[in-house]
Amino acid sequence: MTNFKIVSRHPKFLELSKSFSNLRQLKYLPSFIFLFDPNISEAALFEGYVLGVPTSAIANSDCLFFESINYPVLGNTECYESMYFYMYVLRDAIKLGSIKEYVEILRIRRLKAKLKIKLRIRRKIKKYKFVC
Amino acid sequence: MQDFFKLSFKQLMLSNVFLGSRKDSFNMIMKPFILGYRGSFCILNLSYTYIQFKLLIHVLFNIIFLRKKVLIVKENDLYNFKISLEAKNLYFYNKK
Repeated sequence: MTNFKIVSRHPKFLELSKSFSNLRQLKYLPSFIFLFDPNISEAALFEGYVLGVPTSAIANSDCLFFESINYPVLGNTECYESMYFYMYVLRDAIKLGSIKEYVEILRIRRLKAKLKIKLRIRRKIKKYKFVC
Repeated sequence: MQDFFKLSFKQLMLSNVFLGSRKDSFNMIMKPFILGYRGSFCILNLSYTYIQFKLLIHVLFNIIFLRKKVLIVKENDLYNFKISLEAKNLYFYNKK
């Protein structure tokens, strides 16, 4: 048995893997961090502060780390209706951003297609001249 | 394209964003953002939230347009955010 197999059967490893295994897939640093409750997830906030990653969080009136947030948003963090609202706002912003990106890709493709047609016409003209 | 996104005060009011924490546990730094008190709860000033939300949307919009990654931190997936966001890669950070 390898060392990893021995360690992976340990109960403490299983406990830790539940909490941190999702973050193992992250290979690069994120360019932006969004927190729902800075009082609960303070570790992520300070990591972003140290690494220089911009952070935004929803700050309730009992927020302890208001000054260390780059883009704070005042709001309720306990009610589930408000949480859904923030989530839908995020979703719409992400979708609109991705649509703009898609439109840009289409624009570039069209430009490339136009250039290809121009090149084909030029080649044909050259061939015609050569034949003549 | 950014003008398609509409945010109104009615949405904020209906989703109970104005409700703050209890009087006993509120922070003194947050005092300028508190409008008043109702019973034992603080009430937040929504005019600040409106501006801050607009700024956040603008920042997010530009970050995703430049193909950069956003990390959303939440202690658990209580409300099935993974389904509501329709995101491919969503990571949750458990403190326990």
